[in-house]
Amino acid sequence: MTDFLFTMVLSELEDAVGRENCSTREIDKVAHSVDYFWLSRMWADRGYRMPEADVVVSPKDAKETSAVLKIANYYKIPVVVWGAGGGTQGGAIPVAGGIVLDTKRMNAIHDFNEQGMYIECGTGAIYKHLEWEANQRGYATMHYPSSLTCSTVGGFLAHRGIGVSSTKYGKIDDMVLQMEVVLPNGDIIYTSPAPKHAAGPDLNQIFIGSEGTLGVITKAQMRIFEQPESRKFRGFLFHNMTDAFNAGRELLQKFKPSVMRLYDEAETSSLIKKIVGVAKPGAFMNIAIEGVAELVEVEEKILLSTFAKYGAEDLGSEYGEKWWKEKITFFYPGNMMDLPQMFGTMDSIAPYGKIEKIYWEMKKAIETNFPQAKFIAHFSHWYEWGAMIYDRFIVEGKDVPTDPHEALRLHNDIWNLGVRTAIQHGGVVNDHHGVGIKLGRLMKEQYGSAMQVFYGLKKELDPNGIMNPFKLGL
Amino acid sequence: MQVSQKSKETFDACRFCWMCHHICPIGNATGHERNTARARALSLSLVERGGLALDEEVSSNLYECALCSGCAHDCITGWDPTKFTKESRLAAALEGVLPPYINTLLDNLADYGTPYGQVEENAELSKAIAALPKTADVLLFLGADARALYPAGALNAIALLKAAGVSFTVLQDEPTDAYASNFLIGAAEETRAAMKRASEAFAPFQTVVCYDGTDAAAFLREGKEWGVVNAHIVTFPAYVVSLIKDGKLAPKKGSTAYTIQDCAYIARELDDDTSIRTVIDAIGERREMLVSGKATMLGGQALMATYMADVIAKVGARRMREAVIAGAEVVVTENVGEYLALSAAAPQGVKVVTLEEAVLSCL
Ligand SMILES: Cc1cc2nc3c(=O)[nH]c(=O)nc-3n(C[C@H](O)[C@H](O)[C@H](O)COP(=O)(O)OP(=O)(O)OC[C@H]3O[C@@H](n4cnc5c(N)ncnc54)[C@H](O)[C@@H]3O)c2cc1C
Ligand code: SF4
Ligand code: SF4
Repeated sequence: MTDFLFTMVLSELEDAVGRENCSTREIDKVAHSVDYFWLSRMWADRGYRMPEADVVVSPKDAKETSAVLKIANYYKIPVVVWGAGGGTQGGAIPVAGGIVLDTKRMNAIHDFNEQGMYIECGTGAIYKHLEWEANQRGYATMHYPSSLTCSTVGGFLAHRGIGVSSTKYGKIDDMVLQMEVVLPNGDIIYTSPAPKHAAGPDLNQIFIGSEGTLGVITKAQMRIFEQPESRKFRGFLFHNMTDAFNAGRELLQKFKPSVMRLYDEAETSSLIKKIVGVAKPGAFMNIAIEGVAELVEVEEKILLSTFAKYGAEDLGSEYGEKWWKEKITFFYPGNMMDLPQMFGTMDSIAPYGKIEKIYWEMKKAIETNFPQAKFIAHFSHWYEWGAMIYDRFIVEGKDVPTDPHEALRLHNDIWNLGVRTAIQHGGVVNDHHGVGIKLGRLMKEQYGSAMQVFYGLKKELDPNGIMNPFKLGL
Repeated sequence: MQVSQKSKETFDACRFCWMCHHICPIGNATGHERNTARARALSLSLVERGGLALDEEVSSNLYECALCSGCAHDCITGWDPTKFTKESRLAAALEGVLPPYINTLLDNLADYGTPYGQVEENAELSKAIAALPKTADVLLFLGADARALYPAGALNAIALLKAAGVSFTVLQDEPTDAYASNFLIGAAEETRAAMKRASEAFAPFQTVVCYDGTDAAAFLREGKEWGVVNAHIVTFPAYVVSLIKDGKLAPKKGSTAYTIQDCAYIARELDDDTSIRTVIDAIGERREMLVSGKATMLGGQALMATYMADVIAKVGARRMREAVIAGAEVVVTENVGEYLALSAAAPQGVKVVTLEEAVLSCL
């Protein structure tokens, strides 16, 4: 684009969102170029600049967002939505330049609806602020990802995020009522006023998980819950993971705990030992039960009797409480994996009967083909029918190539192998971190000809392909 | 870039960490990604690695930080972004890449001893100061913010100490530049010299009572750390507590509910969130915001309001909203910057007062 035309476009964007909310400054471009994706961090660590936007805009509402998208569509400029950049898949990185649309000015709380039990907010609100809003009035959001303080409502929706209490309260896609979405052509639409209905396919679920490729979610009604009267923790040590899976599956046919987390032997003897203090060998599992005190009492009895059948050692409440207190401590620099290490979380999900096999197959594949990589895992979100695996590979700094391009290749080779192994054994490409630029290529391997449904949506809604190009395999 | 090894380690830790994204009062108000500890750290780490130049843009973002320590306090593993921000401000100054509005403030400091330039002092305040004895055991240090921006607060502080029968004075020509210099260019020679001047001015007094939390924090933290300030300095709230304890002030406990806006600099840097509560408990009912005490969220900043007034207005508005949700009727503050921003944002039916005003109303 010529300098003249660029300046013309810029003045249109400034007209749309206000000059102070439209930036071509290097500091803003840099701030929006590195997200939580390991490759972007590695690139910056080596002193290289990641792809940057040509302009960063911060609209204040759907109307301004619409104006930006109309301009972008006319000039066919890529638009990348940026929430807080806490995504791990490079989803918010402007790989093709263009406009970065930062949603954080849309962070207002519009309605605290106690009757309907939801908060209506701009999607640029950091989720922790929603939690504060709820807590101030005696409620809770019950969406407790480790990134509660790092990421926006829109980011969680766009990535299909999940929190630690998901077994009882659901994933982000269970926590939303109505949404306001700005389509790539600038039209502002609303999904159905209630999330359960028989008025055709669920519009919410088309945009949830679409990672900014089909439009911008600008407002959402997020559910709130009453604070539980009682919350009890119980830690267990299983002899092996098979017993733990069987126990967990059986428990879930009886009632739903809020937290269910099973750590493999490797993670039990590393992270859990370090942060929670469990020093014995085995697979640690932490369970939280919460709600009305009377029910919690009964559920606790069921939990103890069910797990006893599978030979679990009852470690009491201490470790679980410690874990709850420290649940985000794991993620601070100093406790978390960091450069020069190479690492990644290859989360997948599958029904019982497949999930444990996926674990062993992924472990075998990674450790045999990449002996320099360590493989650890836990299983943190459980359903009546299956569970997710949160497995990580870690390569120590000394084994990471110094040339960033070579490091990128090794990174992608490990990912390809890990995710392909999961898919091959009945797992899904990702559980809750999304796809982004990191896993786009593997979407086709997951869905095969079903991809045409996504292509169709993309083509119809975004014929100029301006929205978040090269993400989600679209 | 001339910063310490510790600062380099800190920005390298923070640059890829999102954990305190929610806590920054400035980032929350602007919605700008650059206004986060992580983005600031990323830019500095790139400067360090030669991927970005330390220029006016990078340095202007350093000045969009209130140094409120919200991020540092929230950081479980103990990193402190304010350290690298302050050191980088000085580095930017040494490299001559400060934004023009910061240069103006520094020029004001050099020419007039206050960042606010040539401000004619409020006549009533001048008169009140002139009427005080020239020598006393206690020095009330009003600070640049009160003298230039909120003389009514300064007058109330004087009135309160008089009501307590304290033998005190206020310097006509206060050395008011230490805090501002420290905020703007950190441990520069100019700041050390300003601290030293203040220390000399404080020398004849047994106790120095700092009216504004921002000044108190600078003297008590950096001033002491550098070994330049030796005086016995107390914050205004802590001094009021001692006056109440000694029976010099005997406020009547009323039914007014006060919602506390902790001064971040006093609560976090001086580790004192109890003095204001002790005072409030003596005069009325205490009401707390959800995020309060040492975890408090900044509600205003006088110096920053000179160069980013709209942002500071939003900071005040956001904090006032939290106060309203907490049921605030009267919000009580510990520094001028927060008093001004919160007052401007107060809806009808909510009053903002400074601590001395609250106590005076109960005498
Ligand atoms: C320390 C840490 C721990 C984490 N733990 C968890 C966890 O426990 N559970 C979990 O689910 N995730 C976790 N994550 C990942 C991250 O929090 C989620 O992926 C989150 O959804 C990202 O939100 P964001 O606002 O940061 O989005 P960004 O990174 O800015 O964007 C993510 C994607 O969403 C799109 N997007 C953002 N906002 C919108 C919008 N309004 N409309 C349309 N598209 C949009 C972007 O274009 C991009 O594709 C963690 C991340 C970190 C840093
Ligand atoms: S201060 Fe702590 S929480 Fe904040 S960015 Fe730095 S390391 Fe992360
Ligand atoms: S010190 Fe305060 S203003 Fe500065 S980055 Fe930290 S929280 Fe934000």
